[in-house]
Amino acid sequence: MSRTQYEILALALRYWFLLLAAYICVRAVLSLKRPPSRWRQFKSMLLLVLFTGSAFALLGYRQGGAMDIEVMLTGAAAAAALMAQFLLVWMLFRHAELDLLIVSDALLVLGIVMLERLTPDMAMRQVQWLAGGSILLGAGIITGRYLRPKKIWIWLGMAASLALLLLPFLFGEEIRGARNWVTIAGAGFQPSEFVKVGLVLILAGFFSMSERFREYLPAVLFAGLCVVMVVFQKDLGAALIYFAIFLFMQYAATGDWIVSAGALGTAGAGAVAGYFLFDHVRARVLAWRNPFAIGVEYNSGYQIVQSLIAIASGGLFGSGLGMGSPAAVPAADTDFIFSAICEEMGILMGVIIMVLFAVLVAKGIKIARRAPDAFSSLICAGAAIALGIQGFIILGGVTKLIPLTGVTLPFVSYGGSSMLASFFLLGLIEGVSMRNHRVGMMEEDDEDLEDEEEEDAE
Amino acid sequence: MNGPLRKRLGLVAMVLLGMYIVLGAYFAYGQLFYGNRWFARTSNPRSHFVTEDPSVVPGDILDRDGERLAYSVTETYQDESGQSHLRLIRDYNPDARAASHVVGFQDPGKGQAGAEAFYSRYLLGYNNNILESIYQKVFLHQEVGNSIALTVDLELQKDVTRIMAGRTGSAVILDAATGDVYAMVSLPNFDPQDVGNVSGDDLVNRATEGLYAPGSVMKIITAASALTNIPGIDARTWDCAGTVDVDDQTIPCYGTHAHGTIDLTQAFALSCNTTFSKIGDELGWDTLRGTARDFGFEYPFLFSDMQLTESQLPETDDLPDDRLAWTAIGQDDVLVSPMHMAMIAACVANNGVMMEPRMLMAVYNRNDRMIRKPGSRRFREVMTPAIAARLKDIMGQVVECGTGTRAAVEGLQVYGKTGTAEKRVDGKLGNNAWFVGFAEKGDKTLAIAVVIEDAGPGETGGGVAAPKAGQMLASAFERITE
Repeated sequence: MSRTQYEILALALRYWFLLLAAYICVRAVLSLKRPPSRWRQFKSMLLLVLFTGSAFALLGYRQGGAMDIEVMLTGAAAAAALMAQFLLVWMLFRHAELDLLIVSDALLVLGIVMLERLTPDMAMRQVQWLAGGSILLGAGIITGRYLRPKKIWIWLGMAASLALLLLPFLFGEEIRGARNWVTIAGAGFQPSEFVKVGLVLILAGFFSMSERFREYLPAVLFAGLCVVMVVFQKDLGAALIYFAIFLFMQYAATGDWIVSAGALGTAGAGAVAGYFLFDHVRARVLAWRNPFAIGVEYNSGYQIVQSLIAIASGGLFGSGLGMGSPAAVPAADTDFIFSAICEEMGILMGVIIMVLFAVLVAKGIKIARRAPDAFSSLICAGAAIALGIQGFIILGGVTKLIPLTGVTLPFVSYGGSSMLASFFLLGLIEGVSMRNHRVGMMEEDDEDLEDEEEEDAE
Repeated sequence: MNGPLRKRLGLVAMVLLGMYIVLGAYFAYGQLFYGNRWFARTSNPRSHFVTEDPSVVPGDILDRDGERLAYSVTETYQDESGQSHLRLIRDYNPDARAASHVVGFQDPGKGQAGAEAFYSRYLLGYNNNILESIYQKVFLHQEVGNSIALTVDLELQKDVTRIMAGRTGSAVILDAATGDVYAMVSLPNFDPQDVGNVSGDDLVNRATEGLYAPGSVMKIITAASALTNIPGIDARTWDCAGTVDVDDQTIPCYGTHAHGTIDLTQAFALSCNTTFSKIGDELGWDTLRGTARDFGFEYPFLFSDMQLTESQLPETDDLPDDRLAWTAIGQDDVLVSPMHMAMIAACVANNGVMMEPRMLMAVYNRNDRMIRKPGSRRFREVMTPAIAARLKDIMGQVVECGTGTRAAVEGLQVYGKTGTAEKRVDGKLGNNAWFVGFAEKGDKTLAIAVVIEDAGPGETGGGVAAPKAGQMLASAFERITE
């Protein structure tokens, strides 16, 4: 196929990709109201595989000439991994929420396709992370389904989390201004991603055991310590995520708004102090206020400017896969992958991504509200909050809604730590959903619950 | 499980979903309203012309009469291995120097500017629909962009440049009713063919990026503020002794000439500094700043057709009286661009409604079929028609019997205001000589702003800028016919 033919195909297929993604997105939104049949879910999954296949087939011809087999193999591996993951969850864990899995897999597919277009090596490695993530998904499901709050693992978990957060100070490596990356024995990872999971579990443990401030005080101190440690690693994104997880979980669990307000006040004061104390914080805020200002556009505002320009260049439907210049945006394969997707697949695809994240949050919290006990409810809500907040922070950052703090877009960005942690969090939600079903079978009060839900919705 | 937890989780979900709704709305709003401007940034590598094997050959830039200002020439050549390549050469009208800052340039060393940069979205065909894109890919040997026609007139640009007679400065001529830019001249200009050897200072478009102390042309705004906010101002008189003391500052009239007892019209026509500094102090900083902001000061203009630098006022909420007095007569920290000043004049002529300056007249596709014709856009309503009419009156007096008599032209009704802003450059005293105004003939009204920035100590706005403005207006009415 000649380059010209490829370009024509890429232009035409923009609509096909949008159509498939829109269908999956609409199905996901509808599944909030009423659980679809297994066949429907399977159909969405098949469409996702079709999306993967057609996108990789197209990219296979990107260089002109004959199809690049390596590209096709990556696509096939991705599709096979997705299908295997789906079927395994279906068979091993009856009553897991497959809609939720489809939402996260849809995000993952968009990410892998974009990675293949940007840096093919990373796409292949991302498929490997998908396989690893699937194992963590299973682990998360089992954790969510069977874990009970016990003092022993909570305290051990706190110690382990703090130890993990100490690692960057000892073996840390600075990447894009943040010292949050650790390499031990040749394997690199990002401790803050895993501590995020620990934070959700530990907070859920404390809050489910007591609603009294004095008794959950260790949880407050632990969360505060985590935030301070990542702040000193200049990982402001992680700090923001930890804080939001704490705030939402604390409020939901205890309803003690005085403590919430206190935490908010402390964090606000800390943010203001950080603004005046640290140059890198001030630079972020300045770049957010007006990234196009003289002296900012080519400096601290460069990333955000290039991100906005990339998105604007694609327009509603995008420039077509492989026909834009998304590589002009720094970190297009990790933190800024949203801009790259928007440039080539369109602003509409960007909106679809936002809707998918909103569905993830809504569905996660809906499952949390049906949980039979406070602990299950809180780990499930905590996981949904963690994914939702992280998505919001980076999406808001690259669209200039809030100051940019570099975190990965869960499921979409390239990154092993992020992928494993995100799938584990998803697993927690799935596990709680299974638990709900189990208890619902025993108590058979689902009907009442259903009615109340309806009232709440109105 | 307990009910309160479920209720609070519902609230948490609401908050999170609310955040996502805000995110989506902001994302869509930003891209829809600012997307094109963001694309036009010179930091966007997609808007740069590619000279070696370009995938798209950029379209032409025409003036309002269809005269080609910039166009693409391609040549094919073979490299050592016998492969044929395409090279893009951007060529310019031999007279394009007179419109150099309008046309702009794309240069690997000097960056991008002017229409060549700002309208690259059209020139490179980024606005094409899918059918056109596919047609070009299937049937054309080489993809081509669209051509654009600008509202400026090359002949008028040449006249204005000639009338400026080599002085450093800028002149802008607008249609008061539509905002169409008929001429935008910045001097010194440059040869677009040879941008690489031009000094950075000469590449600056003084009309839109140059910020000048307005001097007495600021009195248009002070007068508008006084007419709006001081009841019965028309019946009042002031005594001008040639100087006035405010706090420990002495503000003189030009040449400390005493004007005697005068009313507002005479004070404006004779450009009496003492009277206007008194009016400024009477208005107070909040009121005067409010009016100036209505006129567009301290506003980041986000026009779809050009980038215009924000005009500045003293940056304080609490301006002492002496500085306020200087501000009212356009000194202190007031800075304005010639384009903005022309918009202010046009606004007075247009019954108090300020129009956005319009530069893009039409976009033509490769078959010369018009595919886009942007309309004119209102910027904002600055003042009531009654006050605009009164301002027009007193601006007429300036040309009839005041400081701007040399702007008068046979057969035209000219209105305006002169300004002489004193400045010190490298220890030498000098002036910014201004004339800002408009002229009517039939139902057409053209607004003008002229600034000479290298005027000597004796050269006033009325002396050097006003006669040039008159000649330019005369030429503009001749050139712009339809």
